[in-house]
Amino acid sequence: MIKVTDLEKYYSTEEIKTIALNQFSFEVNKGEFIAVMGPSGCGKSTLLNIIGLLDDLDGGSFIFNGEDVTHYNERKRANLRKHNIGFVFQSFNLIDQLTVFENVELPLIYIGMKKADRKKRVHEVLEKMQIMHRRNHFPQQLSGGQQQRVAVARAVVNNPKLILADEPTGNLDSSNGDEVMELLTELNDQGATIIMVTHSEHDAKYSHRIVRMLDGQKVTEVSLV
Amino acid sequence: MVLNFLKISLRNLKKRLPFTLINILGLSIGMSCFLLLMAYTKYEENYDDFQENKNQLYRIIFERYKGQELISVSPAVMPALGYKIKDEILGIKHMSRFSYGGGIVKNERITAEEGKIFYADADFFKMFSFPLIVGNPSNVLESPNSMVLTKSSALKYFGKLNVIGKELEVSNEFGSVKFNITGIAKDLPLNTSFNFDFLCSYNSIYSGQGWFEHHWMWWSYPTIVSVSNTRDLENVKKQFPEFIKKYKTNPIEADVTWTFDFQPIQDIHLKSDFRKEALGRDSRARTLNLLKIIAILILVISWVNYINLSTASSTERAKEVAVRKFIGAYRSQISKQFLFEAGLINCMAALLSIGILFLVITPFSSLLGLDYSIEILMQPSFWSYLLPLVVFGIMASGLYPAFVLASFKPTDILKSKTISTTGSNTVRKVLVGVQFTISIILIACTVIMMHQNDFMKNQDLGVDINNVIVIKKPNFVEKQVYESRLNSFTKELQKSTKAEYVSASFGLPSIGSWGLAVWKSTEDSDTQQVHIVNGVDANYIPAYDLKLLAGRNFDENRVADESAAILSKKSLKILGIDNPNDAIDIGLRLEIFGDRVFHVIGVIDDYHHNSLKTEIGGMVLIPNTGYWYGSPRFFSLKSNGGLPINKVLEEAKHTYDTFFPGDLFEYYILKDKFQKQYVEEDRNQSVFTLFSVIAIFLACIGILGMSSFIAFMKMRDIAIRKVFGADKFVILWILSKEFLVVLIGASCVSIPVAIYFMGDWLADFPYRVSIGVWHFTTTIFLIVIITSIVIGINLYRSLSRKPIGVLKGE
Repeated sequence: MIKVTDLEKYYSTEEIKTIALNQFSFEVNKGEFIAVMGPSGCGKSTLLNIIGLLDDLDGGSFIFNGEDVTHYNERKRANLRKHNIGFVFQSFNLIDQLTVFENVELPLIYIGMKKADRKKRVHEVLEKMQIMHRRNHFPQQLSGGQQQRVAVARAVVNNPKLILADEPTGNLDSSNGDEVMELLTELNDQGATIIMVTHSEHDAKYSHRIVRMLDGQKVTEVSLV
Repeated sequence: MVLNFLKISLRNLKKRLPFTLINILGLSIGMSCFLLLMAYTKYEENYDDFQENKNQLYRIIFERYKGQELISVSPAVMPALGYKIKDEILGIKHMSRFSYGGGIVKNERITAEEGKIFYADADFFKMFSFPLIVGNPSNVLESPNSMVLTKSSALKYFGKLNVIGKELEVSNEFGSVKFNITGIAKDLPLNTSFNFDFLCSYNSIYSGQGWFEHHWMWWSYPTIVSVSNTRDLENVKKQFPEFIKKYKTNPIEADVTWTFDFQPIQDIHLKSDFRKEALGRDSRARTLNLLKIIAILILVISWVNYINLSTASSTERAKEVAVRKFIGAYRSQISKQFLFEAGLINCMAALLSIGILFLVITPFSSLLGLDYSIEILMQPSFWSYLLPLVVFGIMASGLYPAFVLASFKPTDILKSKTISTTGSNTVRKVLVGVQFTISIILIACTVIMMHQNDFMKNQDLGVDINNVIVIKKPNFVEKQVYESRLNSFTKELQKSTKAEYVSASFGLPSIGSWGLAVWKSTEDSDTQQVHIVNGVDANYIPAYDLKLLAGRNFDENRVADESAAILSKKSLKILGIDNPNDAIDIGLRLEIFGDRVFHVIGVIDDYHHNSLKTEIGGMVLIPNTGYWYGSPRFFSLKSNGGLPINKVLEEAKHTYDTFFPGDLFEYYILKDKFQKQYVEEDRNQSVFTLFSVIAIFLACIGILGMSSFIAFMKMRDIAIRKVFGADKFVILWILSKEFLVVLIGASCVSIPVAIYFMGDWLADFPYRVSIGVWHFTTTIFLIVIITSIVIGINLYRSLSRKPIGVLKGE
C-alpha cells in the first residue's frame, strides 16, 4: 500500500542544515499495523507527516496505493488525504469550538457527504467508540481518554484506508492508553492499515512490525507476527 | 458548509467576545463616519436635482474685462438686463430675477425678522418645480406687491392656510411695503439654492420705479433664464454682443468689455466661488472634498484595525487551521471560513453603524451648522452606498487575514505550537504605520487649524470692539420721522444707558459696509478704486478707539463737515499719497454721489474692519447725514461698565420703544457678531477635531492589537529575561521599540503631507501663522502619550505574569 524509497528531508536555517530523513526506505502492506520507534528527533514524526501528505520531501519517491504521489500539489494531496487517511495525535487536536458530534462530522463535510448520511455515519461511529452520550459536549468538557476516543472516531469516520497515529497514548494514563490501543487493534482487525509512532514498548507490542529509527535512518525492522 | 461556517464563526466570535466587540465597534465607527460624510456630501452635491427643468435653467454671470484682464465677475447682474433680455433675445423661454430682500415681516399677530424673503418675476413658478397648494403658478407674482409664502410661514403668521387676499408688511432696504398674499407654496426641500419662505413680486421693488428698470450700472440682481435646449442656448449667446453694444452706453465703462455667461443652476451651490455670491455657499466644495478624504481615511483605519486584530489573533486560530488541513480541508475552504467571519463581522458592524447614524445625525448636522437631519438618511443614494461598502469592506478587511491564516503549515503549528509570522508581522507594522501616518496628518492639521483660528480671533484688530452693543435702526417708521428723531434718540440712548459713547453709523466693523469706487477730484475717474465707504458721526472714532494719524475728527458744529471725509492709511496708499498730512484738504469723488466733492479732514490708522480672512482695504469715512447712502442703520453703545449688560439692554429697549413705538427692537453684541465671521473656520476645526479623535481612537485599537501580539510573541523572551533579572525598562523597550520605528517612519511620511495640505489651506488667509516645528512636536508628543498608555496596559499584563508559568507553558 505504501512504498517509500530513499526518502530525504532536510530542515535548513541560514547556518545549519539538519537532516531529518536520510535515504529512508520501507514498505507497508494493506492491513498491516506498524509501530515506528526511536529517540526524540530521529525523524519519526517527519516520516509520519510525509506519509500523511502533510509535508514535502526533498528526495526519493513515495508510492501510495499504487500512485506516485511524490510530486502532487497541495490540492491533490488534500484530496487524497481526506478520502484515504485518518490522523490521531498525542494532544488530540480537537477543535474547541465544535462539539463532539461536529468534530467527528468535520471530515465528512469536506468529502461532501449529505447531511442525513453524515448524521447516520457519525452516530454509528460514536456508538462504536462508546461516546454517543457525550455527543453534544465540547472537548474541554471531556477527560483525556474520552477526547482521544473522539479523535479516533474522527480519524475513522470516513473509513480511511490508512490511520496515522502520532503517540496516541502519550497524554493518557495506562488504563485509558490501553483502551485506545484496543480500539486501534480492533480497527486494524476490521481492515485498516495503521502506522503508529510511539515511545512506548508496551504500545508497540500491539503492532505487527516494529521499525526502529535513528538519525533519520531505519536501524532495525522486527516482525512480531 | 455555510451552516458549518456560520456555527463555528458565531462560536468563535462569542468565545473571543472582547475581540469581537472591539472589531465590530471599530468597523462600525469607520462605516458610520464614512456613510455620514458621504450621505452629507451627496446631499450637498444634489442641490436642485429635483427641478424638472434643471437642464434648461441657467443663472447669468456678468464678467468685466479691461483689455485682457478680468476685473470683476458677478453672479448678479443689472436690474435692467432681465427686463430687456426676454423681449430682445430670441430663444429665452422664461426669465426671473431672484433677489434677496430679508427684513422684518409684520401683521397684527406677529412681527419678526425673516431671513428668507426674496423677490422674483412672474415666470418664476413656470420655471421651478415648487408646487403651489393655493394659487395659479402663472400669475401669482404678476401684480406689484403680490406675495407667495410657504405653508409653514402661512401657519406661523396666520395659523391657517386660507389666507389669500390677506396682507403682510415687509420692511427692508427696498422700503416698507404691504404685500397681498396670492399663493401658498408647499414647504421647500432643503437642498435648493432658491430657498425662500416669502417670495414677493419683483415689480414691487422700489414700487416699480422707472429708473430702477433701466439701471445698467448696478449689478446686484441674480437673474435666471430658461432655454429649451443647448442649441437655443448657443443661439442666445450669439445674440449677446449686439445686445451689449446697445445698452453699454455709460462713458465710465467705455474701456471695459462686458461678457455674460450662463451657469447651470445645479452648479450654484458648490461650484460658485464669487465674492458676492448671494445664493450659493462659497468654499463648501473644498470643505466637502476634505470631508470625503477624511471619510475614506477613517474607513481605511477601521479596515486596517480588523486586519491587525485578525492576524494578531492568528496564534489562537492556528490549531483550528492545522486540524482542518489534516482532515483534508483545502486552503480555499479555510480562506472561505475566515472570509465568512469577516462578512459576519462587517454585516454586524453595518447594522450597528445604521443605529449609530440615526443617533448622531442631528448633533452632526448642528456641528456643521446645518438645519437638516434624518432627511439626509432617507435619500435612496445613501442606501446605495451601504451594500458596496459592506462587500468592499469584507474584501478589504477579510482577504488578507484569510490568506495569512489559510497559509499556515499544519505540521509547523502542531510541532512547535507557535507559528512563523515574520511576513505578516512586517505587513502589520506597515499597516500600523499607515494608521499612525493618517493620525499624525489629522492631528497636525487640527493643531495648525486651531493655531490659525486662535491667531485670527486674538489678533489686535486696531479697533476696540469690546463692550459694544449694537442696536438696529427701526424698520417701520417713516423716513422723515426717523431722521427727525435721530439726534434726540442718540442723546437719550446715551443718557439712559449711561454709555460712554453712542455712535450712529451706516456700517460697523463686520456689518453692512459697502465698497464704492473712489478717486481724487483732480484726477480722471478711470483712476477709481474700490474703498469701503462708511457713513458715521463724530462719536464713531472715539467709540471704536480709532487712531487719528493726521487732521481731525468730524465736528457736528461745522456745517462744512457735511462734505468732509476721513481716510485710512491704506486708502492713502491706494490714492498714491505717502504722508498723512499731505492728504488733508484734498478733494475726493465717490461713485453714486455724482459731482459732489468730499474734502479730507483727517487720516486714521488702518484697522480690521472685517475678519482677518480678508485683507485690510481702503476705508473712507463720511458724515452720516445728508445722503441716502450713509444714513445711520446702526447705533453703537460703547459701555464703560457703568451698568450691567441686561440693565443696559433694558434701558435701551425702553428708550427705543419710546421713540419708535411698535417697531422691533433688535440688537447684537458686536464682539460676538464679529467672531461669527469665523463660523466656517470654527466648523472646520470642530469637524477636524472630531474626526481626529475618532481616527486616534481607532488607531489605538490597532496599536492595542499589535502590542498584544508582540507581547504574546515575546512572552517567552520576556519570561527568560525576567528570570535573569531584567527590569521593567528592558521589558518596556522590548515592547515599544517596534512602535518607535513605526512612529519615526510614519512621521517622515506624514509631516511633509501635512505641510503641503496646510500650506495650501493657509494660503487663503492674508494674515496667517507660519507652520512651525512645534506643530509637529505637539502632534507627535500627543501620539507618543496615547501609544504609551495603550502599550502600558500590555506591559502591565506582561509584568504581572509569573515567568516560570510562561516557561512551563501554563
